[in-house]
Amino acid sequence: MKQSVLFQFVLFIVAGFIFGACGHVQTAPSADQKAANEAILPETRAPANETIRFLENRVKRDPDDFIANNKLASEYLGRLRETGDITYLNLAALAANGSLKTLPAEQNKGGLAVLTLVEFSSHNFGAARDHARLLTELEPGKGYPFQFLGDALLELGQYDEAEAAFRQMEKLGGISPLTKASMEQRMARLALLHGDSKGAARHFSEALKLATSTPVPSKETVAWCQWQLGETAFASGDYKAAEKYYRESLATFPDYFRSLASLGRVRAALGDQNAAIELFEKVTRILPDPNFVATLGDLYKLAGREQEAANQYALVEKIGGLTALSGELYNRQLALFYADHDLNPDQAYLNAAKEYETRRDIYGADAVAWTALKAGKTVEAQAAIKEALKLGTKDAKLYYHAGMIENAVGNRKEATRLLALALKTNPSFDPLQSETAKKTLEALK
Amino acid sequence: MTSKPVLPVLLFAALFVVSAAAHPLGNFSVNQYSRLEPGRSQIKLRQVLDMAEIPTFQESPSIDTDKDGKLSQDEINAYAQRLTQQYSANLILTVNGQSVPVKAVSTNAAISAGAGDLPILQIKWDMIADILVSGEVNRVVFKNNNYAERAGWNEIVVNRANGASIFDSTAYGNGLSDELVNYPQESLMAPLAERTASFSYSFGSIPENARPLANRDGKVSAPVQRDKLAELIAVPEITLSVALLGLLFAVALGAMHAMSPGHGKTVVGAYLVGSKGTTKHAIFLGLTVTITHTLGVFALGLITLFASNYVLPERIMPFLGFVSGLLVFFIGISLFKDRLFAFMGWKKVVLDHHHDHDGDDGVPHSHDGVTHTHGGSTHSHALPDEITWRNLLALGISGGLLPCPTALVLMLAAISRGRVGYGLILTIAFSVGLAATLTIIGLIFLNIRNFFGRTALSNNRLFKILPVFSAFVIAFVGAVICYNSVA
Repeated sequence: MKQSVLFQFVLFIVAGFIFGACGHVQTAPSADQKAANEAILPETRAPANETIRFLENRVKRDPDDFIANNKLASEYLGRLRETGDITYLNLAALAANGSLKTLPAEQNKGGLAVLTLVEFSSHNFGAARDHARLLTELEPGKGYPFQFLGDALLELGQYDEAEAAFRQMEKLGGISPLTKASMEQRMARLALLHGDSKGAARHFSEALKLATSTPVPSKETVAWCQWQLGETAFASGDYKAAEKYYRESLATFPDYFRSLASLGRVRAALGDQNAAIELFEKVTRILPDPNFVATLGDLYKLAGREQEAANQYALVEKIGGLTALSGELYNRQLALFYADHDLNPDQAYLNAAKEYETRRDIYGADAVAWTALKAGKTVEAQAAIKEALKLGTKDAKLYYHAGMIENAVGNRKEATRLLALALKTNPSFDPLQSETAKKTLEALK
Repeated sequence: MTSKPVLPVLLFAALFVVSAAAHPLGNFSVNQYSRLEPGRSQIKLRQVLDMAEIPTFQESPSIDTDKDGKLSQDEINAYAQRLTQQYSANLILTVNGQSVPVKAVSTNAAISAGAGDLPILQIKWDMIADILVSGEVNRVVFKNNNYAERAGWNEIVVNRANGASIFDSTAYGNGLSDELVNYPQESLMAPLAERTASFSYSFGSIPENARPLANRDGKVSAPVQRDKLAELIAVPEITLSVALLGLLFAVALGAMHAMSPGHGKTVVGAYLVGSKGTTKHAIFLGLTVTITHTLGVFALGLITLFASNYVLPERIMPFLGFVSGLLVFFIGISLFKDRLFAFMGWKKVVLDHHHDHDGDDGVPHSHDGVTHTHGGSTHSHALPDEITWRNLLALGISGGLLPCPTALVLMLAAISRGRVGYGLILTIAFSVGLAATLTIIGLIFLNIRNFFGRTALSNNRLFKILPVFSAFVIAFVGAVICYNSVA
């Protein structure tokens, strides 16, 4: 009896991660924008609220119902992905831990799976990696633990191991469209990191096709794929295509915060500052992500609205300090914000360097480089930016940071080359920083 | 291998304990509470807006008009006033398909300290919406369009008041957050997402197959809708036999109702036992209760009908409860003092003494409360106050002052059906039933006392202390009634 229940649950979890697979990949420019949106499990087919209430009542009646706890955790993670509201991350953590308290991981793979996802979403990538590893041992022959493992390794900068994990996932994975879709997402992610944007776009399109072809497509998953296509187009400076994808994404999932912000950014790139401000005002009401708030401040600043800009900048600083979790989630964002706006240079560098000790991905290296430059540590900056560029990622922001570092050490030729490359790759990669890039390049000529 | 992940799990759990305790609802939430209270001519609305740290910070530039970086009470008040018009315009209320504008009658704003030294803004409104066309049954649809984009706790409660019956409601009859003051600290509870509500209400009984307003646990809070008394009123036609049957039924209901907790049964018993009560006293007490109770129901019914825009019956109820508790308490205290003095053989200090001559029990009574000695044993055969009509009246009033909700509903149901006279008679019958029970209980107490009084026990010192103890019980019960009505 217990065995069959367990089996059913395993099926549920497997189906779940497959369903949500699309909603999991990050492209390079946005790799660290989203605090807590990387969770995998499904969006609910039934109205989310009712399913959640049903499961909550169930757990209330019987706290030892680990299956209900596991399902609840994955429902909360689904809401987290849709809304970006950390409340749901806290709830998912409670449910996952409650489940594992009832039944240890060895007998409760579903509980371990949701805990791994919660850890991943909390930027606790080391724990996510270790638990994913344990899961690969407890679930031999299953593909999904390798997906979890690869995702965590990618965030930790262990790129070769991540690729190996994804290959393993591919080998073990099923034939269902959503399994394939989640595979395509990971291939796209790897392509982006290695500077192959065309390959990435191809993989994302394939993923979108697969996600839409399922009997009951998850709206958020489809919208996520469309948004990713937009991000890929934006990164290579194709603003028209990017805007089309963002609008499609918003048609699929209205007021989707990711696409609202990206649409604002692409409107700004196209010179429509008013629409950009309006969109960022809206998205910061929906989700005051420090990145969104900072960009709104930049847009105000560009429009000459200094006081409003200052208010937004003040808010960015407040958000990270509100809770331990938000400090954890927004650490890198805050460090980059300080560096972008020439604030607290030493603190920013310390925070970026500290995070890089345990999380050695290329964007972590970039954060170290950029904050080191502002803190006057050019040697450290040069070493770090070399790390950041090691995969050959074609990201305008990385080029821009590299160019500014070269400029600071007086390497005019290399600085000119890199800044020109940044502006060629994505002329308006950031409302404020692309202006600085242009000015610096002008001065170099 | 299997033990390896334990440490991260623990660390992880610790992290979450901290953050969850700091702000369970997310510090960018905008939380709202609505309480709808349908009445005859208007719907009352309580709105509470609770902005967490980030939205308050985002609004700060427009609150802080003098730009001193601080949010003063004046600035908060002015901000709340500015917000009110737009806020109430975004509360969409329709009654029977007709849209009804919502007006704020009072606005209260306050700032408190949140996480990270950031302020939290809370605004409370009391609002009303005048109903233009009121039917036998009214269908209300409510939608809160404020801060629709914002994440947060959104709670809607429908409150039954003024004798209305509420049914077929999508909202619940009770809240979970104490008007956004105490959010549930249950570990697993996603924020409520109630932005719309619809319900029906009427002032008669609820239709067949209608679903009465329920609480969140699925229970019907107080079954006022399917009230037995109100059903008496709802008979299609009043014939003589129906009327007589109704009267009998009302008396029985009143009697049964008296058996339910409250109604000063303890007090009545304690008083009559301790004092030298008689049948006459018991009947007098019963009469007082009947009259007071009937008058109380009429008065409260009238208030509900005509003054409900100014005073809420549920505000009066605790007050009445408090007054009656106070009456009982002081009776108890004065009895206790007198009896204790008598028991201990002390001289009574109070010289002002009412002469309530009703010595038909054949026991000589003293006018000054002096104890004296017969044959060596000290005793008081004249307890100082004995039954005074004044105390008896006060006791009767306190027993009947607080009208039973059942009787109130009966009265309101009668008025809403245009059967005021019949309702009046039924109310009296109900009160008679109530009083009769109290009287009978009093008599039973008396007989028990008399029985023991005739036995040898009567000379026992313990038995003699009984009146003192009963006075204490009276005072205690009075205090409990006071406390309950305040709490």
